[in-house]
Amino acid sequence: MRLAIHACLLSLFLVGCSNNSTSHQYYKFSEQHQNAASNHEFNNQVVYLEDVTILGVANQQAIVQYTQPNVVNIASFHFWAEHPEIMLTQLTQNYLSKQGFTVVPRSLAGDIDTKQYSVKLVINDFAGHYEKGAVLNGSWYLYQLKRGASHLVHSKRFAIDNALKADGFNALITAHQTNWEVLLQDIEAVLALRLNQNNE
Amino acid sequence: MNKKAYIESKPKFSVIWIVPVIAIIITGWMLYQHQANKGHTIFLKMENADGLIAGKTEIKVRSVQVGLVESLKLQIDQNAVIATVRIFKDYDTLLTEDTKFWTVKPRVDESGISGLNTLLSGAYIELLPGESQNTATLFTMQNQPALIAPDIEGVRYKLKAANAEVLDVGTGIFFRNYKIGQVETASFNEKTLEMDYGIFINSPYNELISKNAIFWVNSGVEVDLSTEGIKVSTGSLSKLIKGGISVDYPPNTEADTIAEQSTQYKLHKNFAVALERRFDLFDLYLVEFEQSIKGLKPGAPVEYRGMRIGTVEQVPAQLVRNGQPLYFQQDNTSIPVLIKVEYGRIYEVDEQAKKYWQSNIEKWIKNGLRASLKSGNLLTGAVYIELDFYNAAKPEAIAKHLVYPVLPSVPSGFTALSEQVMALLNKLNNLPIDDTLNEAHETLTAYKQLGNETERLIKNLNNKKVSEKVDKNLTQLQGTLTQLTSSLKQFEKTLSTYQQGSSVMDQLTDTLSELESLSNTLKPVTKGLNEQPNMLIFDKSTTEDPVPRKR
Repeated sequence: MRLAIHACLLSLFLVGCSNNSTSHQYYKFSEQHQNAASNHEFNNQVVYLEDVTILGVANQQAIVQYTQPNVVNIASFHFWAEHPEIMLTQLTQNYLSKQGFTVVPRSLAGDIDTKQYSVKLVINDFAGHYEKGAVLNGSWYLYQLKRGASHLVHSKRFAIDNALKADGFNALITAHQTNWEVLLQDIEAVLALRLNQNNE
Repeated sequence: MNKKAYIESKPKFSVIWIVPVIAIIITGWMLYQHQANKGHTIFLKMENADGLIAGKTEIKVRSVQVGLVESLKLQIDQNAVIATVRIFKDYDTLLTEDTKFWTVKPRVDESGISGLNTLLSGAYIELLPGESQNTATLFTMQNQPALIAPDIEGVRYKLKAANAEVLDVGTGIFFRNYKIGQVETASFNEKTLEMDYGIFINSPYNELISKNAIFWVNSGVEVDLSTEGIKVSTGSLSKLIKGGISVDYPPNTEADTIAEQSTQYKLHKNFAVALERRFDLFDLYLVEFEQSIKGLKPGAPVEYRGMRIGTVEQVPAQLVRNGQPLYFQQDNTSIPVLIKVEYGRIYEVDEQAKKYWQSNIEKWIKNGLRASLKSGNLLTGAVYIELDFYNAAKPEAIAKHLVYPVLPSVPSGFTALSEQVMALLNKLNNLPIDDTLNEAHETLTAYKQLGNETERLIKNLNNKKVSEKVDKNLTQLQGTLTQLTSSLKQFEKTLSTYQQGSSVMDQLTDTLSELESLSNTLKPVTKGLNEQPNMLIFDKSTTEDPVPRKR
């Protein structure tokens, strides 16, 4: 009888300390979409890139979803592998560099008293959506630097969404990446136009 | 069986009555003891009971409690307050008819600040025992503390003042700035129109009060504007604040025999007036001035070569001839001034001085003794009369055609000055002005040469050592500036390590980035802890994340 009680307690202890099947998942944009060829030659003209800024609830590593109107879910088991601001900044720098721009992070620019452009991205929404799939809202700004002062020469509001092609978090991450690349293509076009005008 | 009953008569006095009798005796004895220990009850009449509290205010003699105020009752018909005071048993001998009572409370008056100890303890009544043998039960409270206790030894004198300022009771009497007594009483005599003061001189200083002592009012600050100038004299601080009466002997005299009690003295307006009483042997003379007597006032001194010999009595002299003032007659344009020649000022033995003066005055005038007006004080414009010998004066004799003998005078002041100016102009006319101008021209030429030489000297200095010294100093200054520039560069270099892009700033930025990254990493943990506080012990029981769905 005594042995049975001890066995029962031990089993309860083991059950209490046992792990469930749920595990944490970390995500990052894949590089397969970033291998676009260089389209421009800008004679090593420098473009400064400021760190991407995310405003609001998406400014965290947990993946954020709008599950129904006025309800936001912050994932407990699904995270970005690094903070999305860092990830998006690096993604932008890589993309523009591959497009032929000489991209320098603004924080590492040092003396910026030259006639160059500086890009700033501000994200308001970067989340999954119960109807739209993946949503990306915000603004981006293009500054021209003259004698140490920034002059706003272009700004644009963007609201991009992309429906998921399948169920699951992987499909959401893919949709986010597609949204981001659409945005980068727009920025690339405007930036290329500006730099070409300068070259002419 | 026949028994006889005995009938006993009832006793007239039952033994049981002894108990109440004893009780009555004890009660009576207790009442007697209570009354005997209660002390004596007296009554104090006062204008108001300011600061007094029934059952609390104490009666004290030399800070020892001798009684207590039991009640305070208002007497409307007499505009007074009657305080019932119980004096303790052992102090009934204090209650004589000349005993004085007054309230001790904080006072700030001319005698100083007193009673500050009652600010916290409350006012009390001070009892000053008297000397009388007759006892009393009704006393009148004094408004002011008794100035002089009966046990203080001293002598009382009287002072009379006709023109002096009115002094209050308590004003100090000072002998050479040392307080030896005070004014005890002060009253105005409506018949003689004088102030009568009773003063008390503490023993043994009463021995200083001799028959020839003089008293005068000594205010805190004395300003004397006279022909002798402005004289400001002050006494001690207390006297400066309160003023006082000074007593002393006349200058150059010693104390006479000690004055008896109640001797009366005259209180003079000031020291100078006090001294004038000695010069009561004098002769009046008339001096006629053929000039303005502006600034000459009665009381101004009459001097002989700086030595005072008399006083101006009337300005102008109120003399009448033929029913007209002497100074408004067409045949006489002079202004008469009446003076006193005070023989006591000439010599200590005034009688001897009088004889000497009167036997020689005519001879002196014949030899040129004249009176003249002199400016005594330029600030106040006061003038005085001076007698001196003038050899150039016209011969004159002492005139005796008026009531008083007339001393001859000579013009002075502006009149004399105009004569002197005329004399000076005559001298100027006779001066060799041309020669003086030539000498002045030569002097100016010499000055010009001196100027040229000085200019050459300065040029030499500029060309020689001075410029070298200046160059040397400039070189040193340049070296100092170089050193300063080097220091500033070093300072700039130090500052640059803290500028943007510097290694220090990079390290700081990296540290902050790592901190931010750590904070981001910890966010899910804090979120989980919020949702499940025991998450660190047991496994997460949070529900699964919603899976994104294709639409």
